[in-house]
Amino acid sequence: MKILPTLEGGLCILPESEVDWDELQLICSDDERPTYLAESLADLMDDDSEWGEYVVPDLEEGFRNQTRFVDATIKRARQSGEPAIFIPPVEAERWYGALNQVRLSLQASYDVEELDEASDLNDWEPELKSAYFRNRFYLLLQSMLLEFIMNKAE
Amino acid sequence: MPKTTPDTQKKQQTLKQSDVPWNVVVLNDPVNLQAYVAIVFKKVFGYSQAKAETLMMEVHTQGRSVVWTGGREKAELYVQQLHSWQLQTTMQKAE
Repeated sequence: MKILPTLEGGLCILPESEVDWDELQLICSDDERPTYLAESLADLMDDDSEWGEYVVPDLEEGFRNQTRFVDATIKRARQSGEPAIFIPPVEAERWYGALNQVRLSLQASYDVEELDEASDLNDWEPELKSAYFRNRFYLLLQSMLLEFIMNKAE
Repeated sequence: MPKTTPDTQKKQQTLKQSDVPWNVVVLNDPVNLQAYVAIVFKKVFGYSQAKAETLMMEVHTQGRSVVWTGGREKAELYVQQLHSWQLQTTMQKAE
């Protein structure tokens, strides 16, 4: 898979195999992720703030909009046989948000940021190895969104 | 003889409580990228690049940073906005 900046100030993702497309579709594979994230943020607030009642539904809807948008973009491109996915500047924040959700989820489940790269990857369980590489890939995509789009928009 | 009626005392207590300043506190996490956190501070609070980076580094090195202090309602609004950007944020009464 290649990721390139475009002349119009966005990014272009070029999947090179079905595995690459699968990897992209995994960004939005968990329908419960927006709910979990909104509730985990509410846990940081005092109970008397009534965050769960008044704020969590809006947060959840916002997070769900990000994942729905990215999911629809990837599926549409894959089903119509397009060779690339374009991320124009106006869509960068929704992509970044969806990627952040999946990275927060991988961190919560596998503590991926604490995994020691120096250790022998062959000793890792396949699920852990997959989580580690997915996190690295999504991190790279986020870094490119920041470098080529979001930092320039400031 | 009290100088104020019970009703007045209650009003004064309520006023005092609403006058207490609140801190908006952003907590460190291993996922959110430093450049992203600075961008969010600029967007939400309108801070300069320098101030946003200083606060971001405080979060990174000290584990937390008080990014804004003021009235409770506005603090809640800021926390809600920071949550929508997926930053771990809470609020506490200022000491």
